Amino acid sequence: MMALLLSFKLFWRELKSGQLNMMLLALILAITSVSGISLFTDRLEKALQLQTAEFLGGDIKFESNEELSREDIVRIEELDLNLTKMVLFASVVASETEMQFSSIKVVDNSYPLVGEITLEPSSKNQQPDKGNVWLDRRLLDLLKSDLGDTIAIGDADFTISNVVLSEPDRGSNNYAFAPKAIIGISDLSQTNIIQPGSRVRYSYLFTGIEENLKSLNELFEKIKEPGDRITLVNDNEGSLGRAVERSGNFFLLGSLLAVLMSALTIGISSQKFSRRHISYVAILRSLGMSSVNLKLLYSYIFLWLSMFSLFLGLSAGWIIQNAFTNILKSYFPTELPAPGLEPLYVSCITVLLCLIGFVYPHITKLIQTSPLSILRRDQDSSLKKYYLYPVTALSSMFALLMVYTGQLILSSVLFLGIISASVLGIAIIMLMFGKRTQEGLGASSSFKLAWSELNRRKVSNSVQVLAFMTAIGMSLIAYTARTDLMLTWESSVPNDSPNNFAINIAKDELKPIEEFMTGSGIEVKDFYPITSAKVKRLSPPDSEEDLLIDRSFNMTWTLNLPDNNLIKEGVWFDESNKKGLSISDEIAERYNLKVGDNVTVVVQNDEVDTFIQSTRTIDWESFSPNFFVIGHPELFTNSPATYITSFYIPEEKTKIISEFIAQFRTVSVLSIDEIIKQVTEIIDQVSKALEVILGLTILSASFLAISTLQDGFNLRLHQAAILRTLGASNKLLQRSILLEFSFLGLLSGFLAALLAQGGIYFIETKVFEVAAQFHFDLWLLGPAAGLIFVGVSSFILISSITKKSPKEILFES
Amino acid sequence: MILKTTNLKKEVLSGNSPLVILDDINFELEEGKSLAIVGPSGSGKSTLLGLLAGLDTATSGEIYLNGNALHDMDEEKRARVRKDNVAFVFQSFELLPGLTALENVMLPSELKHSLDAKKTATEYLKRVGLNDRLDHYPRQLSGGEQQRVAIARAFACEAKLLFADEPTGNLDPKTGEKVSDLLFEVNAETSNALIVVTHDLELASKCDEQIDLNEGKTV
Repeated sequence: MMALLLSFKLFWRELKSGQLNMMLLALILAITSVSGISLFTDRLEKALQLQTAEFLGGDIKFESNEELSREDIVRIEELDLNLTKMVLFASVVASETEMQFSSIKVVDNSYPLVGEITLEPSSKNQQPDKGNVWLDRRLLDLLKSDLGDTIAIGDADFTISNVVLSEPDRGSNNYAFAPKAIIGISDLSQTNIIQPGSRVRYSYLFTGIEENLKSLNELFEKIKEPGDRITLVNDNEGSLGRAVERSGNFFLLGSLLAVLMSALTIGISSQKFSRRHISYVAILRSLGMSSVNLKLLYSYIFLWLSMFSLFLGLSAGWIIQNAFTNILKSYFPTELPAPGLEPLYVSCITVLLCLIGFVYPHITKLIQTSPLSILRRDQDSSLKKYYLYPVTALSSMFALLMVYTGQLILSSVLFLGIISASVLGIAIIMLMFGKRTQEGLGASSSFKLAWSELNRRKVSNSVQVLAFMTAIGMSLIAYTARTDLMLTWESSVPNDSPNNFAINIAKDELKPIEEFMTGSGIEVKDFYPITSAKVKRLSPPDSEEDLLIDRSFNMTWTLNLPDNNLIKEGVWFDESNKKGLSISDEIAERYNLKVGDNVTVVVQNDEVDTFIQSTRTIDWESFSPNFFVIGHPELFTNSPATYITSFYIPEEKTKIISEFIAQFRTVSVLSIDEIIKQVTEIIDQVSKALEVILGLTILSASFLAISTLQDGFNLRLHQAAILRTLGASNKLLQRSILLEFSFLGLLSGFLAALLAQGGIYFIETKVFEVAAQFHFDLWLLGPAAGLIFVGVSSFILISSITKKSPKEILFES
Repeated sequence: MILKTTNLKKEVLSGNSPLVILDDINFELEEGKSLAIVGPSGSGKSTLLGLLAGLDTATSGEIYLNGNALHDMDEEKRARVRKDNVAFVFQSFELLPGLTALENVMLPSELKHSLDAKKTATEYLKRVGLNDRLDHYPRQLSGGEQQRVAIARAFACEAKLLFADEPTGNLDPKTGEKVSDLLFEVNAETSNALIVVTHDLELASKCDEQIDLNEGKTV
């Protein structure tokens, strides 16, 4: 009880006197950045997820050529989820004067589950009234109709009541890019379009609580038939899934880097605290206070400190994330969801780990202070060799990595990366300054003084270099990771990427289409034959029977390796390598197909015996035609196929599409302008978030670097005062400090570049899963940042020291 | 004349109101003479020493140190005057912990770009009886030995005026007496002026002159 009261008294007095300011500020800043980032990223991720859900139309989508059975519906209803069912098919829509092959979407009364459909003229209706149809602008133009006109779909007539401007689930269905009509489910039967054998796609979308969605996914996995497809909101397939996953990884990385730097900052602050408390402990011990009571006393002080800083830090974190989310709010179509409790837990665990790893060892050391210290003003006598700090600091650093990444390999690699760069840094310093080459302080010139200081302060300089290295290196990692992400995204949506696909092209239409396009000034990409094929493996390793792979693949045949495709194994077709197949590496992996395996390709009724000649890595994020299976053209000369091509039509030439469709009536043109626009918008929003997180990481880094510098300068304050008393000029001190710290900054920057290059290599290859690059800019930015930031900051600090009179420092210390 | 003050005044702000620490201090000190500044705690002794040595600036009044008008100089100019004219011995020794005894004593010569820094330092350390402690760090020396290193460093400055702030304050009486004897002996050899701030009346009595301070004024 005595320790509790005394601890509170001490804590409060220290707080009032301002003695605890540095420590408190460090803790508050650490908690602020941790809670700010985690609260903000939590909300942002939820918002992104919501938006992605909106893009998909729900959290889970199940597509099938068959309706779900009554029995399955009953099982799904038990899961208490929101459900909407859509029926999608292609049909001819006829106006009084025109006919157009279109995509028909039939929606039920629950549509849409997520987001809103926007209409012109605006309406609160989310489904068309009975007898009404909604068309997209393109179909309206193609049919040469107006609002209020009547059109026919199958046997039923509909009145065009509205134009669809945007629909939330536009990225979700197979016919999304064709001219579109939306009707209500109650009108479907009257159209008489769906007959046995009709090509219809049923799409079921669900939202609900995570646990039930998980059960639903498991259920679908069980009942899934060939041709059925399950899409989850965070599925890796597609640009958006990847974008969300990668941005999630970046947020995590940003918080992690900020936490690590905050932890080191706390370590430095607590070291200062314990240095200052040596005389307190010595006095208390000399007055007979037991070690247990001392431990209790300091534990309580840190308990008050933690609670106080948690309160202030969490409040500041909340304010910061609120400010950030307010800035970004306008970019999200929906209200940003409230954060969960997780950021709070993460902040508390972080504080605990920081205290155990970075404060506890200093306090343990402090408590071991000998009472003799008050008799001999000799603090160094209590600074015995102490190994607890590195052990607890490293362990808690690893624990923090695990808490934030949840991945053993990622944590281990980051941890070992930091350790290796640190060992290298220490080795360089020891090699350069291991042997003292001059006697005395070298105070006769600023260069000699700087060199002598570098020699004499090897150990403390190593610590500073490591802290600067971490601060600069982590900022570089965050900066490069952000740039990487942005470049990957931007390159996936290049400005002149094809925004239209033409499908269902007959062989004899190839030439006329090419002529039409060339005449209109549109560049046409390659024409690919396209067909649906099944692959049968001959003599599989563990079965005597041939194995038919249970799905159809989009297949083409061409001699040219398409853009965004890379050969992974085997060789692409050439004169000496013919008559084979090239398959995507995903298929190869999923169906255990290897280069050299004999297979039969079944195209409609034809069977072609061939072999796997190569596997390819395909960039599915590119907006160009991609194929799972590509065959050598000689093998498929007689196989039936239609053709697909893609082309870029600038906004001002969109009318060409209508003319094209009018001329080539059997060809379907799919515009992906909307999807590109939506993806670009999301990328823009995420990149703003990335910048904020990069900013916070750099702020934590600056705080770590500044507190390291301040700590170093506190130790130099006394020396500077003595030298000035003996007549050293301010210029001598300023120049020598500038030289010394510029060197340390340069070295730290070089090591930081090394650390960042290694870290980025790992992040690129293992986290973002993109091709690793050598980043030249790191090797310029790192040393430059070190030189400028450390050099300039040290100059500012030494100038503030030299402004104080030496009497103030020496006589009042 | 090595030192002269006229109407010296030092005032600081305490809260919002001014607090006079020193007021109307006037004295002169001839070369080679010693002066003791005595007075109770808080009488302004250390503040006066700081002003006289050019470590601090007065609110008003004049200080001439070896003909240099300290009251008209900025910190850089005062540092130059200190380097050429002034040496110090502090109560808490103020040795640099990372330097050996020899290196601590070499400092003033290094600042003067002297090529004989090591030789001079060794001689002074020998003079104060520490020729077997040259490579010892301050933490390896007793309080008395540390103060002797500080005295050696002060004399290595080869300054015209030596300031000693409570030079025996941190030492036991026997060691203190030895240290003060040494201080006066070496000072006599160099014919420097010496200003000692002290509570110790016996030490003060060894000086040629004495100023008694009380509440910032001479009595």
